[in-house]
Amino acid sequence: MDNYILMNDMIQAHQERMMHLKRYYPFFRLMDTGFAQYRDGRYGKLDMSYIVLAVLRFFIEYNHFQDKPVRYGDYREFMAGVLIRDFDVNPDDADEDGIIQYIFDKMCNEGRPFAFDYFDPASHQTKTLRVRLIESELKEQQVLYRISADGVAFYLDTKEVREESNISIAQLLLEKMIKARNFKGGLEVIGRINMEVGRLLQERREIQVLLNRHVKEGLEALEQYHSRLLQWFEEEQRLFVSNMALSAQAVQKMEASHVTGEAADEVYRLDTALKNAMKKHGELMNAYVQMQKAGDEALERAKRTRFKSSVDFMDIGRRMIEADHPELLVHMVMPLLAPKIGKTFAMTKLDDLLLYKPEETAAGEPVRKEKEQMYVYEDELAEERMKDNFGYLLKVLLDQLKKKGSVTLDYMNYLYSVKFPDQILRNGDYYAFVVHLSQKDYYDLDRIRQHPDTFLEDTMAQFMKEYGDDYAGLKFRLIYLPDETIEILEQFEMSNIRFERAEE
Amino acid sequence: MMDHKNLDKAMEIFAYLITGETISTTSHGELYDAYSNQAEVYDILDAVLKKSNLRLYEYKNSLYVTAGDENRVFGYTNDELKKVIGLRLNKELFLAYLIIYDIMTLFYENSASDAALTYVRTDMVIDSVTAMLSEVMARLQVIVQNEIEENSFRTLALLWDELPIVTENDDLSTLKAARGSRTGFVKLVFNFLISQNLFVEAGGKYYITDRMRALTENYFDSCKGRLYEMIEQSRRTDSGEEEENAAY
Repeated sequence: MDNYILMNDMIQAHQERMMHLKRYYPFFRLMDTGFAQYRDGRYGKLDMSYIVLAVLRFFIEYNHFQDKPVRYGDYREFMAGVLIRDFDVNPDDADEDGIIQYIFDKMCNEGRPFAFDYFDPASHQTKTLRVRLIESELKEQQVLYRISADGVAFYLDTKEVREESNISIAQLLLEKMIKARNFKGGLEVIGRINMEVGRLLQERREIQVLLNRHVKEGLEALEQYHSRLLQWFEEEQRLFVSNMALSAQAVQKMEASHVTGEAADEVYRLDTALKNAMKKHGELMNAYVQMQKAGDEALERAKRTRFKSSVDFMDIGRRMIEADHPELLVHMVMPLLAPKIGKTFAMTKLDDLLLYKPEETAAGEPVRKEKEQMYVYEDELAEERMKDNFGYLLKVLLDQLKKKGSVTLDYMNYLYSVKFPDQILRNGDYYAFVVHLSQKDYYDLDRIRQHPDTFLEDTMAQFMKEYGDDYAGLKFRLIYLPDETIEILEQFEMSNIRFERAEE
Repeated sequence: MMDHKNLDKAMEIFAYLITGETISTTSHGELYDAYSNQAEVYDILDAVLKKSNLRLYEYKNSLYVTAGDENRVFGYTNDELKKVIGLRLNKELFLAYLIIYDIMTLFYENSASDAALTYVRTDMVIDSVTAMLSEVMARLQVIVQNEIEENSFRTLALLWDELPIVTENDDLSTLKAARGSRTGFVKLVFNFLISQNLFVEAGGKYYITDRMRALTENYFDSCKGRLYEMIEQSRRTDSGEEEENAAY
């Protein structure tokens, strides 16, 4: 059982403890920052802890006692006084503005909340706590500052332990003060009561804002505020009445004793301050009732708009926030814009273009059994033609050699012209044949058949496969006759050749 | 048979409208008269606009055209808008969208009512956006690390919360449009809205234009169902994903 209580205290209550501790965090962060780093420690004698508390007290004075916001100029004037009075900072110092701004920026954390991380053992998650000391708002072109609820709570905590109702404790203290005739002390206590009331009024304003925008969440917050407020309100009012009576008695006594001077002033001031504090406390309840009415109206309005035919923009926004999809906002914004007529091309789109995959809508390619297509190139065709033509020319030559044993090129020209009347003497293959033939001066067809050496011999070998029986054993020589020229078509000449059959 | 003169007029109206010119009784009045009084001009223009996926609205004797939503030819992409407004990150763009939506709601609670205000100021917009995000921001007092999704209202609330009201060197009398503060950011958005002829600025006040009124009061009625459907769909998609994850 003891172990359970221990574990529960450690684990389950940890978040609550951290929430309570967070109000102290900015103070200690500011202490760490200090003034050592500013202008090489020129203002090292300034004490950050005193300055922070002084500034917070100044804000409470303005925001809660005088019920007005702080402008930067007000703060500047206050801080300048503190620096001169408490730290002997030379008022003519050119950097006075700088140090005042520096202090303010540090306390506001440049507009951002102070944040620190902690581990929540109950949920096993690392969380971040965010807290501000000073809040700002823009009104009519001016920035106005107020101490935050956390700032007030921190300041109050520095002097007394926080209980369920600070007001009740303060009232008890006030009672003691009045009975002990410590009227000055009593005034301070009333000041603290006012701070607490101010904090509750601030909280009420925050709930009012929430109610205007988010009915459901606003009503929930109002419910919680109601239970906290009413829990202590009656006792606080009772104590106020009791202290008012004590104060009135003190005034009567003083008047009866004809006390004058500062002592009398203190009593009167206490009496007045107590009346004002009680009045302000009473305003809390009024404000709460007003807010309750506003909550009822908001609820009615929410019910009514559900059945209207027009578009409820607030409802749309609420639903988008609930759905937690901010990209849905684009559907509210785009229709307001003018048509875009200037076209742009972002270079990043190149990636999209290169990686674009078209939709797979095309039917798959069917697999068919087809014959492989043979490709024949032009030079192969030329080769075949030449071989074919060489065969014809060779046959005529070999027939002459076999028949006559010897024949000249001149005569062969004549024979070719007769046998192949289609302009044989203009045919390039004929002259190629003669050139190929002239590569060697001796041909043995049997040997060539077995071992063809040149292109022409290759042709001869194929020729012999077909007609080999007719020309087996045939050999012949080429004898060049350079002195004898043959005129071809009256256009050119070539030297004569005699082809002779050879026995070996 | 179509009259070429009517075709010319219709195309002229179309060209003026898409280039941002005003067609009204006081501006290009003869074209406005042709649209109002000649059925053929009306029909041709209507057909051309439909094919271009544009919508036309008439308000106080003026014509206004919008590319609507998801118009791939005449509409802006998110990247283009970032460039036009002067933003760098997606979350900044979504925050700008939120501010524009919020400005709309300052004037109109719903599409059936008249505009509640004639102008707004920067501080009013800042307060309004803060209020809109208040419930989300209240939950930001404690945030779980790595739990805030990039595209969520919590991200926008965090971004808004981290922005100071003004930066240290801001001169309030000549507020500059910039991303570094709430006032600068709102001014940036307003500069964009002014370029879109939705607002005009005078003496620090931003006055709503007839174009803004025309579109707000007329466009959204025609797509109310679709808007709600999209919101519900996004919710269903999220819960579907959660169920899938839960299955594992």
